[in-house]
Amino acid sequence: MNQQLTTTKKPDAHGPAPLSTRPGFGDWASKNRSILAPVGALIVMIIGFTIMSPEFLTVGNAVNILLDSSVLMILALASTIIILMGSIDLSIGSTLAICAFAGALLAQSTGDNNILLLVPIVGLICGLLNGLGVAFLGLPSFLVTLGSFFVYNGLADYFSGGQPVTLTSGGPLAWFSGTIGGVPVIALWAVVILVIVHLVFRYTRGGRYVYAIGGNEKTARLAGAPVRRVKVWAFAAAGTLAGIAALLQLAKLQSASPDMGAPYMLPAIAAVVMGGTPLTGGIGGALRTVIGVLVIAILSNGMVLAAIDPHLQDVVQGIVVVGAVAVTMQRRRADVVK
Amino acid sequence: MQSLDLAHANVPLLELRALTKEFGPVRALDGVSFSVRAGEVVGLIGENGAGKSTLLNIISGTENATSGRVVVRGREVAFENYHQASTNGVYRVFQELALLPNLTVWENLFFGHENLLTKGGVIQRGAAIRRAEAILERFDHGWIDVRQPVGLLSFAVQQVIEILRAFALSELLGQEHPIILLDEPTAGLSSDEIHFLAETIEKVKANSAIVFVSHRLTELLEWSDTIVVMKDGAVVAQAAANELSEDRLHLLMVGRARNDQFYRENLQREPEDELLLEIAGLGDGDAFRDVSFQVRAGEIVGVAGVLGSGKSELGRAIYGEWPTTEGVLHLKGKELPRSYSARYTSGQRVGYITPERKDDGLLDTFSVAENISFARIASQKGMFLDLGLEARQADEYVKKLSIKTAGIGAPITSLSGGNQQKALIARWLARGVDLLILDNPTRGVDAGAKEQVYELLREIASTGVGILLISDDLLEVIGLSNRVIVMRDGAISDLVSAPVDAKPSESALVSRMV
Repeated sequence: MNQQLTTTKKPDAHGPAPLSTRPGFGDWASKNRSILAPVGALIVMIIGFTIMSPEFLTVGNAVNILLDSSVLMILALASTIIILMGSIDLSIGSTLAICAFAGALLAQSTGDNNILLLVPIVGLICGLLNGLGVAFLGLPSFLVTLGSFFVYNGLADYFSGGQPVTLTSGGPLAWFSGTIGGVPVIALWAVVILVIVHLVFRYTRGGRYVYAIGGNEKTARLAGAPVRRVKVWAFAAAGTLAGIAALLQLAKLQSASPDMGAPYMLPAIAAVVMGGTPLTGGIGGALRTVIGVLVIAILSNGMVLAAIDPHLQDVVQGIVVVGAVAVTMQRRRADVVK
Repeated sequence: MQSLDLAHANVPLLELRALTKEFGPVRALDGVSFSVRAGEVVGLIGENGAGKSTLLNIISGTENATSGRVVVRGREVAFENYHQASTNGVYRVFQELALLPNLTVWENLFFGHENLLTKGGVIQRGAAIRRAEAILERFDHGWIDVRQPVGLLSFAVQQVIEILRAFALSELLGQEHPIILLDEPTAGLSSDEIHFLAETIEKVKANSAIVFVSHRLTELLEWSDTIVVMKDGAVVAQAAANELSEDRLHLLMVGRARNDQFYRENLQREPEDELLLEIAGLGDGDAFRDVSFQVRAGEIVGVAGVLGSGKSELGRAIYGEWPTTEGVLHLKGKELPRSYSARYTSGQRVGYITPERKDDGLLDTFSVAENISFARIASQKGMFLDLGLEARQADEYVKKLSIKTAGIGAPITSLSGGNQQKALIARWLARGVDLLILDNPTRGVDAGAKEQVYELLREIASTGVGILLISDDLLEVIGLSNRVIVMRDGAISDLVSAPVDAKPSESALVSRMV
């Protein structure tokens, strides 16, 4: 109700200003609310954890958080592409697992340098299969990726015999380790990927198609957009990103283990929705996802420092995710009512 | 309160007295009065926007009247919702079925009122099933297995179940005669199914009062005792069905004077020689057949026909959104393949405006500028967006088409229907088209914006673009077109030329439509 009133002020903000092209630009107030809610949650958490633990607000811990959130960041970006399109990809985490395994095994047989290219290609193939299933078999993405979630996890298990595979030499992974000016290189990679995904969304035809399909698939098709092809490539791109995330994870852990993808399945989707990209797609974007990722990363880091019982940490995380999603869903409803 | 012999006394079951509904300055209903007795079927007819749905909404409690009264069984009512209406014996059967396909027939029959079938909080399944069977039996539909999920039955049978639900509930609630509102029940039915439905209505009518809305005049005349004709929210005629004919009904529904200014008839131009679209013997094996005609550059060709004449399907088929089985299409001299997609056609500089703007016209999460640029972007070669061009084109069209918006970055959903429609036309202008197919381009658009759309179409035609204008609005078709194709039951029944100084009359077209 108040939001409706404030809309009338909006024109001033735009007038002669350059065209803002973020699709789904809802009305001023509700848009702000969807950003303010997660940012507010972030600030509350930072203040809370600072009080609870003296170690929380230190440079060393900030580096830790960056290190911990980089892999999630890239996976969440992959999810963002899919969710913006109004689809969902449950197999992101297991794609990471199968890619990491492929990487660890391929490093032994073909040499370290090759995996820099091969691992993302494995991810691309995994995503491509998802995309073909969704676009050409006409199956819901939820179902296709639920199936591939088990397939990719199972394959990772099968090839590893259920055992972790360690990297014997860390050669090319030097690209992903260490720090530059105090910032972990892994985090820099995540930022580079973020910028690329953001630019693709904003400045390319494919990015625009993704938003259009999420907004109204039928209209997009009637206006001449190659809807099926876009879906296939979007899933392929998400798979490729999961492959890159696998490289980072390999560099961090120096080994691949069968269950390494599992912890990411929920956070990779939750981060996107918490950031303000609704599951119905069409609005939101890569930059929004950053906030969601930070909320999840800071929450788990802070709870460890505050010495909260590990079993309770899951409970808290679950509640925060649902609460944050509830906020964004409500915003979406307001859009529809209008 | 309820007198039991209402049916015999000549008191109407449902009576409307001077119902008026205002939406801001617009009067959707203007003093509507009529009544329905037990055993009577009242047919309600009018063009889109005549106020039929609003009227049914008010009777069934989903909208409130601004003034006037609804009297049910001698008692004035103002239902707050549909549940209250049905509890009081007013039932509505929607065009899209309101049955739950996964539930069984008997569960659907009593849905929402199960509390009356319970003992100690548990539904008495056996008793409910017997009750459902008895009702179906009573109307000779005992062959339907009430334990079957509704979704397994054919559409027509489902519709019958929905009608019988009114009887199941009225019996359960102890009402004497249900009042049944049938909202275009025949729209999705084949002729066999319509016959089947007619039989059911014949059987139930003695025990109920029925208001029947339809666009199909044949059924309306056959099934109704009395017919009420609405136009612009008011009742313009009310007569016994046997005194009316289809022709007469059509004229009553339309019957407006055409204003040649409104349609910018002085701007009508002669088409160029260049053939843009050439259709020969096109058919889809169902909705339309043997359709042949041509559209030249700069020409506006209108397509008229009643609902179900196949004109909408024809438009979609030409654009590539509806499969065809026979016939040949030539676009600018080039033969098109049997099957092609919207992407293919739009790649050939053909644009299409859908009749359902909200369903598949707008990109409703996008801004005005993004909506305008989308078809151009979909047709561009390179992968990068030209955001500068997007802004410039949006500015240009917002000015040229006087699209009222807070800015080109404003959400498209913040615009009025007419301005949204102009933005959608701009989408194809920004892409650049040679042929534009429009299906009901001014549906849900106010008169002022209509006029602007008409002026815009004239301008587009003057640049040499060919326009295929499919519309339910006869005056629009007559006023704008160089030639009018009249369709009846899927075939072209006439091709009328409509030069500026010799426009055909509505009645001339109507006589070829029905």
